[in-house]
Amino acid sequence: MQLNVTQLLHRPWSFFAQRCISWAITFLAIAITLCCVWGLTVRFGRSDLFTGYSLLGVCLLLAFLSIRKRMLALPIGPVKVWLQIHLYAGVLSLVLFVLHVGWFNGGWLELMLGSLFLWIAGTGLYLWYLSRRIPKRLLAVGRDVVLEEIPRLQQQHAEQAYELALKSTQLGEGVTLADYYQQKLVPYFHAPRSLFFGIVPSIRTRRRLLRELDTLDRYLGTEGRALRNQICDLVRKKDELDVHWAMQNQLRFCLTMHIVGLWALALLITVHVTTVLAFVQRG
Amino acid sequence: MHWKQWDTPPKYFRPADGWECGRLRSGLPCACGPDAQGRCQANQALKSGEDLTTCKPRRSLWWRRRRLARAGGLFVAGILALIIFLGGDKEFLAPGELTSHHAQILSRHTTENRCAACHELEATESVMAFLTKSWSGHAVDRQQQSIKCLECHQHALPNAKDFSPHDLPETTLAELTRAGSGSMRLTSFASVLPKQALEGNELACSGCHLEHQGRMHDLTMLNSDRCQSCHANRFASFTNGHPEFTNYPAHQDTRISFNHQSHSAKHFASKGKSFDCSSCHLDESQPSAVGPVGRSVSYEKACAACHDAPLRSSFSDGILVINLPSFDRQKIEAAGLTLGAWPEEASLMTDGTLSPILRWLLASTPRGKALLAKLPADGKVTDLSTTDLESLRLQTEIAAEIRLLVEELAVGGQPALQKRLSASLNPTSNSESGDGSSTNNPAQVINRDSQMISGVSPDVFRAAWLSWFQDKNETIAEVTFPKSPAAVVGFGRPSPMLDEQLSGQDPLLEQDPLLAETPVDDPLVAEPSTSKASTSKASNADPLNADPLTENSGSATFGDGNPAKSKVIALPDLSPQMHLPHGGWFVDQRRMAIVYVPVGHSDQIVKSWLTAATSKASEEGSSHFKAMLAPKAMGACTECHKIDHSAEYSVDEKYLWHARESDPSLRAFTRFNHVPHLTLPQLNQCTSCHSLQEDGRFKSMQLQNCMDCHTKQGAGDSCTQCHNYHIKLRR
Repeated sequence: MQLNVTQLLHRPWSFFAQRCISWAITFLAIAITLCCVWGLTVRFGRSDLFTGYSLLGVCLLLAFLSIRKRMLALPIGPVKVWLQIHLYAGVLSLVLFVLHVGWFNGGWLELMLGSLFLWIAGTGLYLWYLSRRIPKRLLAVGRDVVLEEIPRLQQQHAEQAYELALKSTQLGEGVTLADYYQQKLVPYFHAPRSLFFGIVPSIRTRRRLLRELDTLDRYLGTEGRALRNQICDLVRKKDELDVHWAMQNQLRFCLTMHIVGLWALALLITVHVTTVLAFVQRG
Repeated sequence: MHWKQWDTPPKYFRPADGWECGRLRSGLPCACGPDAQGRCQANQALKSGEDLTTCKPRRSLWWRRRRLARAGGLFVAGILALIIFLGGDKEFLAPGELTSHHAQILSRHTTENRCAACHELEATESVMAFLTKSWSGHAVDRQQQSIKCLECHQHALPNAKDFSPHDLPETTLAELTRAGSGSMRLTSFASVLPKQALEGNELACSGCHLEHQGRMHDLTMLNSDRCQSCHANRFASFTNGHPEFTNYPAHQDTRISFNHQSHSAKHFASKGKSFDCSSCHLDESQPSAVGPVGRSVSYEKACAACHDAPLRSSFSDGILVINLPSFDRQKIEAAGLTLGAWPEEASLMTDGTLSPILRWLLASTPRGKALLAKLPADGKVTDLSTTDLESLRLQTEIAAEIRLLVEELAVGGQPALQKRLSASLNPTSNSESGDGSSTNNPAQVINRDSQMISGVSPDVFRAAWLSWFQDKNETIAEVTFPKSPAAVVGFGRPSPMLDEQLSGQDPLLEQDPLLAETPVDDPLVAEPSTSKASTSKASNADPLNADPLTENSGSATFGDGNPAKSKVIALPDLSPQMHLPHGGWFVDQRRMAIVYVPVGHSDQIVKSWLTAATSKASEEGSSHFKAMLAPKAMGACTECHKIDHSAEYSVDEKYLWHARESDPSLRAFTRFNHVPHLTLPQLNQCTSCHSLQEDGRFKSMQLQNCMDCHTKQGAGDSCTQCHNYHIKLRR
C-alpha cells in the first residue's frame, strides 16, 4: 500500500499521539540545549549568555498565547494549538531557567526576577495539573456547566425547592417537609458554600442532608415521599453545581495568580537584560 | 423579556468585556448587558417596549485581573525607579553575593565603593551612571577586568599578567604540546570538540573564575572537560585514557648523595637495624602520626650517628690554606739567582704542590696570575726543571710571590685576606678599596666573602712569617710588625720601628713598661733589644725566641734562662687532633703550611669557600677552583654534596648544601599530599607506592597505583585534583 504523506499529515491525530509528539519535541529541545550549554562551557564560551537569550526567546513565545487571544484575526493557528505550545514551552523555560540561574546567589534583582519567574511557572504548572484533573472530576459529576451559568441554575433549583416545600403543606400530611426545608434547606439552597468547600469540594453535606431527608419518611405519606424524592434530586443537583463552581473558581483563581505577575516579570526581565548587556565582558 | 422565558438560555456572557451585568452574580442577568462604557443597556430595551429593569453594571473579572497585573507591574516599576533614579543601593544590580573570600576583603569598604573596587567605575556614581557607563563600554573589557583581579593576586600569580594558558610562555606551551600530542585518543566526546573558543592570550580570569555566584561558591572549581578542550592529548577520564606515568615522582638527581638501596640492604642490615622510612621522613613533633611527610631529613638526625666520625677524620689533618713548596736553593743560587728568605727545610729540593687555596690567593694579583699560568694546572712544582734557567727563575718568582702574600697577610690581617679572596672572585670590584669589600656587589656576596675569613687570626700569619721568612741573621729591629700581645708574649719580637711611631702618639703606650728605654724588668725583651751581635745569645735565652714551631719538638724556658730557676715545659708539635679538636687555624711546621681545621659538619668557612669556588669553577683559567671541588680536596664534603650546574639554581645555590625542599612559592603541574593517603591502611607503608631499583633510585609509580581509588565514584578523578592550572616555575 502506497503511503500518502499528505493524507498522513492531514489525518487527525489522537490526543495521545499529540501528547507524545509534543513531549518528544520538548525533550529534543531540552537535549539540544544541554548539548549547546555543555559545548559552550568546555570551550570557555558564554553558556550563561546562551541560556539567557534562549530563555528570553522562550518567554516571548510563552507571551504569544496572550497576544494570540487578543488578535483573533491573525492567521497563525487556533488558540488551542498555541495553548499546547505554551504548555510545553513552559517546561523548556523551566529547564533553561535552572541552567541559567543554577541557584539563587543573593542578588536582589536576580532574586526578585527568579522568584517571580518561579511563581508564574509554578502556578502555570498547577494550572496544567488542574486542567487535566478537573475535567475528569466534572465529567464524573455528570453535567457540563459554564461557570457564568451556575448562579442562574442555582437560583432555579432554589425556587424549585421552595415550590416543592410549599406544595407539601397542601397535601394534608403535616408540615414536616416544609419545616425541614425552612430549617436546613433554605441555607443550603440560598447561602454560598464555605471557603473550605471552595478549596476542597466534598459531598459530605449532601450526604448528611439526604440521610436526614430519608429519616422524614415515617412522617410522610405517599405523595409526601414523592415530593421528598424531588427535593432530594434538587439537593444533588445543587451540590453538583457547587462542585462545578468550586473547581472552576479554583481554575480561575490560579489563572489570575498566573497572570498577575506578568507585567512585573516583563519589567524585571527588561532591567535584567539591560544590566547584563551593560556589564557583560566583551573581548 | 426575561431570560427565564427564553427557550435556550444565553450560553456566553462575554467574559472578556470590561463590564458585566449587575445581576449576573444573582443568577438573573439580562440578555442586553452593559455597553463598552459600562452603561446598562436595559434603558434601550425599555424604549423599544421590552419588559426589563435596569441595573448597575460591574467590572468583569477579566478586567480586574488585568488591572491587578498592571498594578503589580507598576509596583515593581516604582521600586526600580526609586533604586535607579534616586541613587539607591548599587549592589541591587549585582547578580549575586561575592564569595566569602572576596566578601571579607571588601567588608570594610562602604557600600558606595565596594563595586568600584573591582569594576572600572567610580564609587560615587549612581545606579543609572553605572548602567550608562557600562553601556558605553567603559567597564566591559575582559582584560581590564582581569588586570583588576591581578592587582591583588599578582604576588601569588606573577606570570598571570600575560593571560597565557598556564601562565607559561608561548614557546614552553608549544614544546609541551609537541611532547604530549603524540598519542591522540578519541576516547571521549570531548575529543571531538572543536578548538576552544578563546585564542592564545585572550584568557581572562572570568573565563574560569565566575564571581557573584554566592558566598559558598568555589572559585577554583574547573570542569575537567575544559582541560580536554585545549589539550592535544584528550582522554575520557583518569581511569580511561590518562597517559601512563613515565617519570613520577620525577627522577632527578638529589642534591645529597644518598642511596636508599645500599643503606637498606647493606649498611643498616649489617648493623642489624631496620630501615624504616618513617624514622626519617615523618616529623615526630607533628601532631599527626601520618604527616606531613618530609622529603629530607637533617644530618644530625639521619646521618651523624654513622657518618660524623668519618667526616671528622677526613678533616683531621686540616685543609691546606697556604703551603710552601720546596725549592732547590743550591741549584737556584748556582744559576746565579736568589731564592731569598725561604725556610731551610723547604730549600733542599724542588718538590710539592701549591694548594688550591694558595693558588686562589696568588691569582688575585696580575703577577700571581701570570706565574700560575706558567705552572701545571694542578699546581705541582715537582715537575719543574732544575736545570732550565727560566724554570729556576719561575721558582724564585713563585717563592717571592708567596713570601709577599704571607707578609701582606701578616701585616694586613683579615682585611688583606678578604681583599685577596674577593679580588679573585669579583675582578670588577674595587680592589683598591683596601677593605676587601666590593662596593658594587650585592650584600649576599659581601656576606659570603666575610664568612670565608671569619675566625682567622693575623697572629697565624705573623707566626708563619716569623718562622718561615725571617732572616735569622737579621735584627729584630728590622721586623716591622705592630706591637701586639701575641708579638710580645708569643714571639718576643716587638717592633722598635713601630714603637717609635706609636710612642709619640699614644700616651698609654708611653707609660707602658714594655716600651721603656731599658726594660730591665722584662727578661723577654731586655736582651734582644741590646745589639745585633747578641741576637744569637738572646735567642737561646728567650724560650719563645727559640720558636718551638720551627722545631720538631722543643722546650720553652720561662724565667731568667737559668734552668735551675726557670720552669721548663715541653712544647710538642701542634697536632690538629690534639690541639684543635674543635677546629681553627694554625701553622703546621712539618708541612710548612697554614692549615684550617674545620669544626666538622656544616663548617661555615669550608662551606663559603666551596660555594665561592663553585661559582667560579666553570670559568676559564680556574683550575684551582676546580681542584677545590675535587673529591677529598676539602675533606669529605663533596662525597655527599653534589654540584648542580643546571640553570635552575642561582650561583650561590649551585653547591647544593641542603636537600631539595618543596618551595611553597612555586606551583608545579602536579601536586600530591601524602597525609590523606597515609591514613589508608593499605597505603600506610611507603613501599606500597615507592619501590627501589637496583641502582638505588626509586621506580616510577604506575598509573594503576592511583586508579584503584581515583575513580569518579571513589576518591574523584577531576584534573584539578592533582594538577595545578596556574604554574609558577623557578625560572
